[in-house]
Amino acid sequence: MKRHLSTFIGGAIVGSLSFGIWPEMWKSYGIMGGFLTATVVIGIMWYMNHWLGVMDNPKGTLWVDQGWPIAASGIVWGLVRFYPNSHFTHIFPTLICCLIGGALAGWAAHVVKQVAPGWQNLEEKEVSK
Amino acid sequence: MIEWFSTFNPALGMPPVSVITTIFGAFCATFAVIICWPKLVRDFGPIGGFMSATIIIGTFWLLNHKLPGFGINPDGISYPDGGWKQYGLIYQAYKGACPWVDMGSAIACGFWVHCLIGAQKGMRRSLVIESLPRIFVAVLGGAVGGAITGLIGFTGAELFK
Repeated sequence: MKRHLSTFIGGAIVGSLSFGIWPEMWKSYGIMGGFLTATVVIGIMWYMNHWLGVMDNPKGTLWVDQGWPIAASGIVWGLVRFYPNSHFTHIFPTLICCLIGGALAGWAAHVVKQVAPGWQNLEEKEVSK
Repeated sequence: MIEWFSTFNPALGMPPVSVITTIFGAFCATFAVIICWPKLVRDFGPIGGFMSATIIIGTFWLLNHKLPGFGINPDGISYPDGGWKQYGLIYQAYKGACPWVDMGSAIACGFWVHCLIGAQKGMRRSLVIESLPRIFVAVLGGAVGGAITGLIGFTGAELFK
């Protein structure tokens, strides 16, 4: 239960930061604002959620990325922000396409990892270090 | 043909060309993250994670989510011959003035599927059942954070007026 609370808090913070800061930085500084926000928000939130492990990812289980709360946050943020006219149903085609593209990439990465030289003989490399 | 591709298709909910760009954009970002991010973290530790956030997420944010104009302009930049142009690969419905579909959904889904495919055959069902509550809690947390952030639109603040 404590682990779930931890995941919940991590998700709430990363979602809030992404959509509270990213549009403002983009509006203020354009493309470089987007890069800066990627560094600041995603960098520090990755450090908190995945390096320090605020989001619960036990060894040998399916990886729950902080992309889940960011995606949920983007949808609910828009839903609340444009509340009377939020056009909720319009998002589903895009969302489905995103999930299809992501799943395809997951499969493709699995295939590529079997042949890409950088992903071969990981154990040997670590020993040689 | 081009006209059919580029006009809004009510059955798909977007122009057919946007189906291609959305799936391709989601694929590119997810593939790069899955292949590069864990390796960079393995090689450089937390600094590798910060580097990945800048160079992978920053770059693919530009590719996937850039909106026309300097700053968010839901009307877009109109063509001289009518219509408007979307610059990011991931299509945003209703000219961006509706709930935002982030490439985080693609990356998260991709990581999940990637781990699922890589798992042992007999283990998959139990792994899925184990991960679902964690995904649910993560999504719930994101929803609460996003909802509260969206509420600032209702404060009625009129600064600098």
